[in-house]
Amino acid sequence: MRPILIAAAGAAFLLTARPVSAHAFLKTAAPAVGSTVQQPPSQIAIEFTEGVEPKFSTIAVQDAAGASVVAGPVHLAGDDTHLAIGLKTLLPGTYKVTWHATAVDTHKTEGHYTFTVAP
Amino acid sequence: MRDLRSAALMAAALLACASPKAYAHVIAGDRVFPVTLTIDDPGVADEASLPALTYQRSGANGGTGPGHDIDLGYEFDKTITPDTALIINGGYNIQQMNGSKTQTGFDNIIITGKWQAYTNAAHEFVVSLGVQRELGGTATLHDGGDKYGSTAPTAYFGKGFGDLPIGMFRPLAITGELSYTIADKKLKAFQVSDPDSGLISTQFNNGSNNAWNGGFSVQYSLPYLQAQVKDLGLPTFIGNLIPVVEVTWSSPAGSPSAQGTTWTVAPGVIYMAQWGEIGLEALIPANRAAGTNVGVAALVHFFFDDLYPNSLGKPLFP
Repeated sequence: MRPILIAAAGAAFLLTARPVSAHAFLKTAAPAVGSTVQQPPSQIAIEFTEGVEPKFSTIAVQDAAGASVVAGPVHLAGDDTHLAIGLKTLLPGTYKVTWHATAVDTHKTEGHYTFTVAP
Repeated sequence: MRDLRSAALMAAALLACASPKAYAHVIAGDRVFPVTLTIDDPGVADEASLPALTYQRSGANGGTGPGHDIDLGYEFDKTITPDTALIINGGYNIQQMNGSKTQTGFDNIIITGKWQAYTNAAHEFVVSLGVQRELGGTATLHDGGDKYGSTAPTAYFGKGFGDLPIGMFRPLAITGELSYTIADKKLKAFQVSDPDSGLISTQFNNGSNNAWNGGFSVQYSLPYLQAQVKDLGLPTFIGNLIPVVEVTWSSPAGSPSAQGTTWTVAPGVIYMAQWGEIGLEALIPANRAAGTNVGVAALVHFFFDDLYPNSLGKPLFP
């Protein structure tokens, strides 16, 4: 009986635990991942699942030729789950966004996606 | 003494250089490899499964029924360095046979040493090597637990297809595991003559065959689809699902053999949360030796790197 009680107590402890903080994954983005927009955006905004450290996080945006189209540094946009970076005036075409995030618990994550500016 | 110190310093330097950029989850680039239910994931992490449940009707392994076999398993993974881990597996088994007393007891404990040897972030590729040691005699013997153990060198891999040029294929990933089990006591057959009838029958000792064991999984990650390919605006619950199909097999490596090769197909789904996972799969016998009854496997898994990042969730030697 005692091993079962210990196991049940352990399970209850684990099931009621909540992340102190966790890996920061992309939750939403503007422009949205894989989307086509009619108007060229002035910035890339990413919402993460956890708070991130802006000093140790990056967002790179490149055109089809691999040239950077960012204007200014990455910065918080609201609370620490939102990062943004300004963009130069974008021409019609497909752009690649590459992000590296360091969560507040120091875990690192990364991702890539594209969006398209319609002609 | 000087030679030993130099060798130790060189080994430490080589280990530091060889250590991959390790994440607490099994992550390679944009890819998060989930824990699957019938084979191990391809890397090392601080995590635990409690419980890992399997349920099968008797006959699922070629035996006779009717009856039920329930196994309540657990697993605890602890990173030693960022790319090495020790893993302990065990479980509690309940065998109910109609007309017979229910047999219960603990399974043999299995200890695994695992090394995440290679990680390629750009191609979402991970390779690990390990050794599984089943500790014979740690099971509750009255239910038939094995007195003798085994040793199994094992290789693991994971490959995400984020580098494919076709967008909707990029959420795909495959993982695999292959091991060769070396039994502590070999299975032997001997002829026994019935003193009354004179009939000769074949009986076996209480050893085991050496065996090849392996499996692979094919996964389609909706979180990957949403975050790396195209945001379809899926509801949050749906967007956290990873449909998966696992295939496992076990094949004796010599003769005599008490059982032939068995194949099992396990389709199911995994729900990925920030704290861990929940998985559910059907266990479908894929050949006659694997039986005829469909079973079920379920898993609740915890990511200690996210739940306890400053204690259980970090390597002993970062």
